[in-house]
Amino acid sequence: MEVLVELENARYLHPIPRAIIAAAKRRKQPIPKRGIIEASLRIESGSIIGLVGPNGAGKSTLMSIMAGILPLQRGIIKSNGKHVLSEQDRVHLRKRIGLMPERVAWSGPGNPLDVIRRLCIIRGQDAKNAEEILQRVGLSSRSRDRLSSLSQGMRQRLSLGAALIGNPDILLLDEPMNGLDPVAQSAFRKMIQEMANRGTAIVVSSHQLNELERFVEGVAIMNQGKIVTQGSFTSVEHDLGVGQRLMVSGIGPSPASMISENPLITVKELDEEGDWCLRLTRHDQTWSQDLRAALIERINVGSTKVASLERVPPDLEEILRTATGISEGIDLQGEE
Amino acid sequence: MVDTMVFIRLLIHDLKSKMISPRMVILYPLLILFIPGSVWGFSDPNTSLPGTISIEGASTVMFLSSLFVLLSATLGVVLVGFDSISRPRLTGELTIELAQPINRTLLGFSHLFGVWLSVAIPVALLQISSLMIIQHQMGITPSVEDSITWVGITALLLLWYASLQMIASSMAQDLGASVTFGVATWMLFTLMWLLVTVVIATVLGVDATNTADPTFIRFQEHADLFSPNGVYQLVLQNRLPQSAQPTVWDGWIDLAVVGWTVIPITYYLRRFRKLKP
Repeated sequence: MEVLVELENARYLHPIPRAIIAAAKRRKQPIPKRGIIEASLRIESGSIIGLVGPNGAGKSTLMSIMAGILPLQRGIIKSNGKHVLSEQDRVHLRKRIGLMPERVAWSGPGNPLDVIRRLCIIRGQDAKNAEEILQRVGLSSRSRDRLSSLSQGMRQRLSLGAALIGNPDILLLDEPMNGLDPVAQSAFRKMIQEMANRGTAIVVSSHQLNELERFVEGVAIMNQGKIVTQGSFTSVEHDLGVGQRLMVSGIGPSPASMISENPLITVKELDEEGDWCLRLTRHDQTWSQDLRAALIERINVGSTKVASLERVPPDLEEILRTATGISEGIDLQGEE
Repeated sequence: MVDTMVFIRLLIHDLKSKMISPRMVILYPLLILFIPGSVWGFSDPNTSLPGTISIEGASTVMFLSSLFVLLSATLGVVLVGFDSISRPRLTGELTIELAQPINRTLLGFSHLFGVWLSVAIPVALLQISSLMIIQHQMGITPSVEDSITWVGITALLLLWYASLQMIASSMAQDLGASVTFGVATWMLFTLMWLLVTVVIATVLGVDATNTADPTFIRFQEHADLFSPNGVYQLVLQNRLPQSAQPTVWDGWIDLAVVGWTVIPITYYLRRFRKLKP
């Protein structure tokens, strides 16, 4: 697949207010860094990448860098293999990118048609395309309504419409499903898939991990301004060591205590149907076919028999927790 | 060439929407009342003005009506432009705009010209209609030079206010700060400038107790070079009969016109190029 945009060791730190610097110095703490500390990312044509991370991880800043809004302080950005250095290079980069920022509170005296027409003009497109764009995002019936009368979901659709103008090669979508109803979410997923099939690269940032899992092909996990890991789900699972779990159930006495004797395996008893059901996590390696066969042989002693054994794929939430070190008891009152 | 076409199309689109916006609809009656209205009054042969002011031709009418331009049109620019950057920045719309493939300088100019021309065009049209009022009332045709100077310097004055307002709007973190800066600037130059001049004169040892004193008038004319309103009036005053012309050197006035045009716009564009959503 063709590499459309590539970031190498990108860095952009937001200015820190003097009061925060002074407070950090007073407490003899390191001065906090906000933004992107180091990020490398390749965006290939037709790929759908999920950008995930906790609040304040730097996802939106990374999108702004990729969209050519924020300049790099360090590192390089390449568009179709060419370095993006000058403002003119950034203009060319922006021509290939459609950005949908998070929660745009469209307001003012205009209407959706005016907004899209204006953006069509800026992109050098025919303003007549505006109605087609609004139809594509399901806003044609509201095209002449005042912006202030639109619901959050409608505003999200308008932002999506703005990103679609000029059929960009790359779509950067920041929390695109916020406020969308389930029907709109389904239509959105379908549209994203169709666009990816036509070769558009799509980067989606979202906190709705279960939704993201349904259509992204790979993930880039961000934490504290860095991309911790990225790749296909399988490779990320492998990198993080979260793909070594088995779900085993069977009849007869539970073999939990016997398996627990192996210090490399963590056993968790689950309340499922059948005599017993265990979730086994290996800490040294993945459950290869040989290991699984040996396990069955060990369990099938006496009246204890394995009824089913299957590998448990980790979900995105678990990947995120493992990658970022966020525990289940997240401190919501702490600083983001 | 492509960028220029995009700029022109964008400007026309913005002007269309701004010129029919509720703010401008409110402003139109005020502009009509203040510009052609004042010209109508000053050009009436039966009008008697207070003090020693006497109407000595079309240029005097234009000069006197400039006070009403300062009270209405400049405030119009403040009201139209105060949120042109700060509001889209707060709502997130600016992020989408900055992500578009257009040169930042051109985009900055389109914002500035959108605010400026949406007020300057109606004001210029009202001024041109006012020239006809002068001709009708006084029976004299204003000279081409006087007319061009009046319309042109008014347009420039509005450009100066527009650029100051755009600087404020690009700096403001909220709508309140932006409108406060705009109104405060307008009040400083329109209502408070004489007071500021008197205070500075006193501090520098110039007798400010008699505002008709030639030394104070000379000082005041020089101080006016630092106010857009002052420069505006000095330019118009230069078109009056010899006895009423300012004593300040023409070169300083020309320099002030160039300075008020170039410095705020350059600073605004520099800010806009580095603007972060």
